[in-house]
Amino acid sequence: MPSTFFGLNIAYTGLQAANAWLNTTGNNISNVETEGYSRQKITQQAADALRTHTRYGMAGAGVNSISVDQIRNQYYDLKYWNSCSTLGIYEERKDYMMQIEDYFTETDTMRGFNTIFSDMFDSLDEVYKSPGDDAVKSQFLGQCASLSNYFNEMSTNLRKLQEDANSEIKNYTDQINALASEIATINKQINMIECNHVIANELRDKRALMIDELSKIVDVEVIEVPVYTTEEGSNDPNAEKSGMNRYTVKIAGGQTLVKSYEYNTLSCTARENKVNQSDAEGLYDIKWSNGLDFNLYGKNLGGKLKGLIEVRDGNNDEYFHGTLGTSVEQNAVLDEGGNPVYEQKVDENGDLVFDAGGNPVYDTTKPVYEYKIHVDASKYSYLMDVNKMTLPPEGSIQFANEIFEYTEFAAELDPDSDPKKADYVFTVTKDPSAYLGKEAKIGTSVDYLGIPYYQEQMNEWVRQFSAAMNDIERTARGADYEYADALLVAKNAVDEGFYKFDDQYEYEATGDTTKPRDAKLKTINSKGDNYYQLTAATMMVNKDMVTDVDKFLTSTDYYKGQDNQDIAESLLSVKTDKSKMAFRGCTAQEFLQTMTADIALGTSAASTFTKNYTDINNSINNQRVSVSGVDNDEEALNLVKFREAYNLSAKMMSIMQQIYDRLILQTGV
Amino acid sequence: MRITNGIMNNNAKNNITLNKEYADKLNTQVATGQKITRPSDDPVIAIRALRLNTNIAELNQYYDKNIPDAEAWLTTTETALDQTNKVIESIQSNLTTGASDDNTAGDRMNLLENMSALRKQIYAAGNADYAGRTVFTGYRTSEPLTFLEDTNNLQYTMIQTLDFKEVSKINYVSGSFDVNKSNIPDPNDPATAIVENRIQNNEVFRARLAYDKLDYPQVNADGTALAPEISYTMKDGTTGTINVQVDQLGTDQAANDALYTSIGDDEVRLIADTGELILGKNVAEKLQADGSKFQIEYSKHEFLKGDLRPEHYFACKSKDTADAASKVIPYNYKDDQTTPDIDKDTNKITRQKINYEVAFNQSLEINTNAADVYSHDIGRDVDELVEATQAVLDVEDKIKTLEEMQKDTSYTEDELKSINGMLEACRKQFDYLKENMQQLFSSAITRFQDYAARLNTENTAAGSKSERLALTKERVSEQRQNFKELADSNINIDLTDAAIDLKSAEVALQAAQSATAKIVQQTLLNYI
Repeated sequence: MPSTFFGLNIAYTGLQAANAWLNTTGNNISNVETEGYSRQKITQQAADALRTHTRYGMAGAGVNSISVDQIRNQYYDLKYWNSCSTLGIYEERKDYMMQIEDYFTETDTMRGFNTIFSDMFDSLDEVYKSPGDDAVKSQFLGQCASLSNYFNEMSTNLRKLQEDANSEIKNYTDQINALASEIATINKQINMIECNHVIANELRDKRALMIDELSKIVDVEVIEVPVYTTEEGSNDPNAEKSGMNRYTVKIAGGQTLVKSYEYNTLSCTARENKVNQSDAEGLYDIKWSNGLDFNLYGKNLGGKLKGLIEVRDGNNDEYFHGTLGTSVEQNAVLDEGGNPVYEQKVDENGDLVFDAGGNPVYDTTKPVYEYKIHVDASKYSYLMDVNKMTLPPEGSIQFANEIFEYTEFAAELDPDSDPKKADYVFTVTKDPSAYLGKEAKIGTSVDYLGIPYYQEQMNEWVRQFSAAMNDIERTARGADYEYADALLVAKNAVDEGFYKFDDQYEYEATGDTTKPRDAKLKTINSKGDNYYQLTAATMMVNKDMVTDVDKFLTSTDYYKGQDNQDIAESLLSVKTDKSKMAFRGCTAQEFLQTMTADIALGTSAASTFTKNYTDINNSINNQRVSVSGVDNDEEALNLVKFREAYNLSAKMMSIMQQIYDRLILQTGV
Repeated sequence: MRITNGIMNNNAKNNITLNKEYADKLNTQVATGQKITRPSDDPVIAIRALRLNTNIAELNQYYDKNIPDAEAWLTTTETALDQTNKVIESIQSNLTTGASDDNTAGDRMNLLENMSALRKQIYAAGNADYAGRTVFTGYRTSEPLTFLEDTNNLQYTMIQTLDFKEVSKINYVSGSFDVNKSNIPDPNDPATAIVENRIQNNEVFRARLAYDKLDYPQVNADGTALAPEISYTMKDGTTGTINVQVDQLGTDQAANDALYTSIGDDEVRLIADTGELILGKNVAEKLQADGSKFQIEYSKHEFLKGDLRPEHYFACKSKDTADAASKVIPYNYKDDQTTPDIDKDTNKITRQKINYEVAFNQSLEINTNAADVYSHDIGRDVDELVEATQAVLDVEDKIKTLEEMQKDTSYTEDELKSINGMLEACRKQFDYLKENMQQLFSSAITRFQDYAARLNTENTAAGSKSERLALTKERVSEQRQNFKELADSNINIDLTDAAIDLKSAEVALQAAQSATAKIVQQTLLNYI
């Protein structure tokens, strides 16, 4: 038989439980609009019943409120984070593709390639009609300049866009670093609370919110494992959970960012050497601050970072790679006077030695060498065409796993020989003998049509077009039977002059005949006067012709008369004659069509995917909210429910009071 | 699934956004009138628009620039040909007069004046230009067809090509003499006496070159001596060369006559003053044989205003002798600068064709070449007619003088005898010359019909080109219209459809908004 006062205690637990519920409901209602907040509930249990040794058995002892729990499903979190990373990729793609699209679009008010190109050929048609008219010729040269300017500008625009993407990459790595440090801190706070076997609901919500944010930037993987009281952990049958957890965050395909209370940071370093000829200066390479490599180009990278990398470095899977040759040629480096160059002396502390005047002292026992090594790239057709060449004139090249600096390269290309020939010779500053026969590469494959791809496409068109025009113009002859120069040339940044591609034209023994070299076999030197020097950024009209229009010759025989149409006729045919120039199987004038196809389809795909993944993301988020979101009606109902529960328990109290009144004051007295 | 207010809010927000996006798209379409605002909206439309616009731009160039230019060029050509035609017609009307037997000396005088005046006009229209470019001179549009003033500082050597048809038999009347009232030759001295027999009509084989007043001696453009020679090709392919002896006329009539009349059978003589090749019998036979072709290089530096410039007709070299620094300029040579650029079929220099692109893949040869219309022969023929008329008039003058002298009583008997002899000679000469002149005039009638016919052919050709051009113009205009319509329907929206769509999108948006407004206001709390 339980105590007479037992009922009062039971009523008390009821009041307590109802009170807790009411508070929790209040908390839920207050946080109804709090981002990342998960609704909470009281976990309650009927209290252990008392053994009363009576006929009716056990007596219920009321209710126990065990804990305040958050209602949240980890599964939806994972799904949400994955979808955020995917969405991030497409958002960045869309953002940048739309800008590229804007640059290439031509509207009624903005002259684009098509207008400029057709104006140029209209004025060439005027030249065709009266080749002897200097005014018409000047106008044509002016239109050529417009075309060059167009490409110069486009190249600059794309390079600026690349720089934008680059600085965004920097911003995002900074954000990743900031989030990493916050997550590590919060991990500690959570464990400090939870080691008391209570749940740090609010902190957990806050941490999940941070992961939400991180997942937009980069793909994340979260692993939370409990810490056991014994070292064997869960393998020990006697082990108990300590209440604490080990919380690990991995990004970019499983690279650890946060491990419990410790975290790694990323650092951006500007590249010293470009990867592509037309790249912006100082693009960032990302590394872990502890010096380990961060795999930026991994297949599993996700999030905005991935989108940005694709836009910045996307080369459509076309990059320089090949097999190293089996021999190395070692040469002493000579200065301009033809004297050998020596290494600077180093003292016993490893410091460089200078003389009293502060000039370096050289060690004449250690001459500086350079090494020439062949790279066979004949497996890839795009490496066999000078028009498609994207590797920088000097820079770094990777032999197996080691980086070498090269000061120049030469290439002999012949796609029609058997076997095909793409023989590159790099001049490197270190001895590469250890890597004979190994793989060599510059940059890496980024299978996306990003800015380097569009730069390459422009360069390719510009090179093909200029070569087609120049091959014709160089057959024109003047009053002294001298051959004309190239019409479209490349700026030479070093001496402010320009390249006329003399290396690619051969002079016969008489010295006055200029013909294009056999197109199939071309030897290109990265420092030579050849079409490799021509890019969208360096294209220009021969300045000599602009200042003296008479140098723009329009006849293969000057004395046939000023209106001889032969050169102008051939030049005109470049526009539509595929045998003169074919760019991706299309005519010269269809450049914008082919580019628009790439860009518009790319943009369109990015937009569609962005929209789809936004929808998916919304729907996953709704599922998440469906579990952990606060619902006004539910809470209102809870308010009513637990007010009633409270009232009832209170009523119980008052009933008990009546009972005691009866029992103590009125019974038996 | 548990639906919370948050989910409802989210969904409502998404729905409204979707409706807004759609309404915005339609609104932009209505405002711009175009289906797409950026290529990625619909790449197919965007690419097609680019292609169509390229086509339209090309058609604009044809329609607005090339066709009008070609029209103007052809009109200039036709006008010039019409003018030349008038000159030829005038010459032809004079030819009939000249060919008739019953002309008085006064008629002949008139004829001479008319012909001399017309001679100057023949080539004038050939200098016609369109926008500063001479239309008949092939690629050399900066040069007029003829010399615009007397020029003697340009040393030309030219290679003229001729064929068997251009070798002819002409009559040369020899034995001409001067009549001097105060110096009568002695009739008794056989060395000086003038008798009727002195006058002879000789048949001479001759090929006429394009110019008279050639250099004597002949020189190359670079100043070195030039020894002209004939190189010939017979029909059967045999080739050979014949040396040409260059001579000039002097003051001694007998010597001059000898240049024409005494020529070895295998010899060729070039008379520099008249630009005539006198051919020996055997040579003439060879060159006159059916299908023979031959060419000769000769030099000339004295040109008169109105003479045709050689570079429009012959492979030639020229040097400005007034400018020591000037170079020898080759005209109409192949790339090697030594082979004349001569068309095998026409035996003339290769025609310089100026083409204008007037429609897609359609070019029109707009120029007429001077060589096809303005032949040297026209001028040379008129010159010969003038000379022949002049010669007749001269002899008539002599006869008149001699007849007066006959009546003069102051002459001695011997002198009178001599005068009678001279008179008889002159009458014989008059008969020959008049006969020759009439023959020349009547043969010229056929020749000028030829010239007129050739002119008409070219004029008709230009005319039919104009007509074809008009048709092309119409077609291009139609094509342009078609492409514009295609471009229009490709990119432009149907405004009615778009307006209706926009209206329904507005309704949908408002419905979504009003539904959302109601649903987010109410919770259970409102009823507790």
